[in-house]
Amino acid sequence: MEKVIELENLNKNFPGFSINDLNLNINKGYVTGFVGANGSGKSTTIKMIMNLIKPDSGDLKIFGMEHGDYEKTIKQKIGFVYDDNIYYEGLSLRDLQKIIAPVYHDWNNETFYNYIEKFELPLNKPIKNFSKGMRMKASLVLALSHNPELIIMDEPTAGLDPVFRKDLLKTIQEIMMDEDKSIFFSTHITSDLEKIADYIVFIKDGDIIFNHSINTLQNDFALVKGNRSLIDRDTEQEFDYISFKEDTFEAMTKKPRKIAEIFGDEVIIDKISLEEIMYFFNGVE
Amino acid sequence: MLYFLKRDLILQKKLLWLYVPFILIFVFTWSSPFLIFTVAALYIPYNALAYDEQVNSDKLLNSLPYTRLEITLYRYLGTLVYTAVSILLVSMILMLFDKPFTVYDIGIGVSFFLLIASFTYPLFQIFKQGNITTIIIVAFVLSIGLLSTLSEYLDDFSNAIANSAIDQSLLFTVLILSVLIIYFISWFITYSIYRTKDF
Repeated sequence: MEKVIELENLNKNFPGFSINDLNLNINKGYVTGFVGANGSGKSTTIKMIMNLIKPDSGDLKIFGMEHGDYEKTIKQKIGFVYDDNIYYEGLSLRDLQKIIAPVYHDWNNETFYNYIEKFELPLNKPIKNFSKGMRMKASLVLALSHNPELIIMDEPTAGLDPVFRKDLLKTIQEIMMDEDKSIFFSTHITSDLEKIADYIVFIKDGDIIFNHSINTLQNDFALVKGNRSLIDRDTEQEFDYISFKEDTFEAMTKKPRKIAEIFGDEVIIDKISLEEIMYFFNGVE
Repeated sequence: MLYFLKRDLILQKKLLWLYVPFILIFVFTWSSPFLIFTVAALYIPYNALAYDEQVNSDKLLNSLPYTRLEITLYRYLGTLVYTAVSILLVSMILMLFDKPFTVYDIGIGVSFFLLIASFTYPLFQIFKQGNITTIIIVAFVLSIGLLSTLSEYLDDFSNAIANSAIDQSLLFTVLILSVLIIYFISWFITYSIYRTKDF
């Protein structure tokens, strides 16, 4: 499968935090959700992809090209949305359009006005009077109007009400009608991801814990519940993570069929939600 | 390049109305014309820096299709363009109000400004965001103070040049060239710092 983002053995050291030998491939033509707790390295990874942070070592390719030689070509094809406001507060969307549009070869004013209308944004009001949801919509309009091949978003749904989150997810689905486009976005609201993501990348303490398709996660991972007495040194090996509560246990497994063979009707094997997977990977040791 | 000029002008559209009154204040309070050229040249580039500081503009600039070399170079070249505009504007105002000035006033005034810029632009890259406004104010007050103290001396200096036996145009060219070389070195220092920065 063609890759849109390829990170190989990336290293970056900060005081108190480091990313060591990070490897990550993002498939072209899909929505990939990037999840992990606060401070796990999501923003750092996104900033390295955008060349806002320079890795200490390692290889980084976007559309098969490196920033060193092709930074401008790469960024012409990327649309970006960040969780903090990076646009000049005193300016209106019309002013920002005047500033940003000439920067991109493929800027399309028609697309720009369509999104403005769709999101019901005021053209002549300064950004500083916008609500958080409106700011996010404005960032999205500016990110999408040059018809980018890759859309990178850092926590686009953080702090937004459910109505707008639904709008955003719908917009993402519309964008993905075009099979050449790819979306990579970080979030900690996992319910959003289950609706639209094709792949989920999970990062913890600067390490990629898994990078799976949503189908793999739903079919190969399962939640197992049963009586504590069933767990001994041997059976424990069949689970990835176990948590105990009084006389019962709750565990995550990547071998639901084998568990069914071993325990039969003595345990309940259930579908596992992304949130539960994250909970197990994050919290239970 | 055009993006940067356009951006500065759109950002400062309100402040630009104050540009002429700002120059007029100095025209009527100071006698040394070269000082007016210096102060007028400061206006647009330093306002732009103050604006950039309000938001995380480096994050925006570096996410747009620009290289770090371009971002720093355009800031320096843009400053030269605004300086040229300020020279025209101040010359017109001075002529309009019948205030005498020479080409040496322009040369010395602008050289002074470019030296201030050469010194402060790399500093902005070293100091953290949040201190830039302070640096601008301190640099402004210091340079005005320095200029006022030096103005008499510089007046004599420019008179001396004007009356000296040395080839005036040669001396003048050497001055401008040295300042431009310093300005270019300053860009190189700024770029060296900016190149490896994390945003």
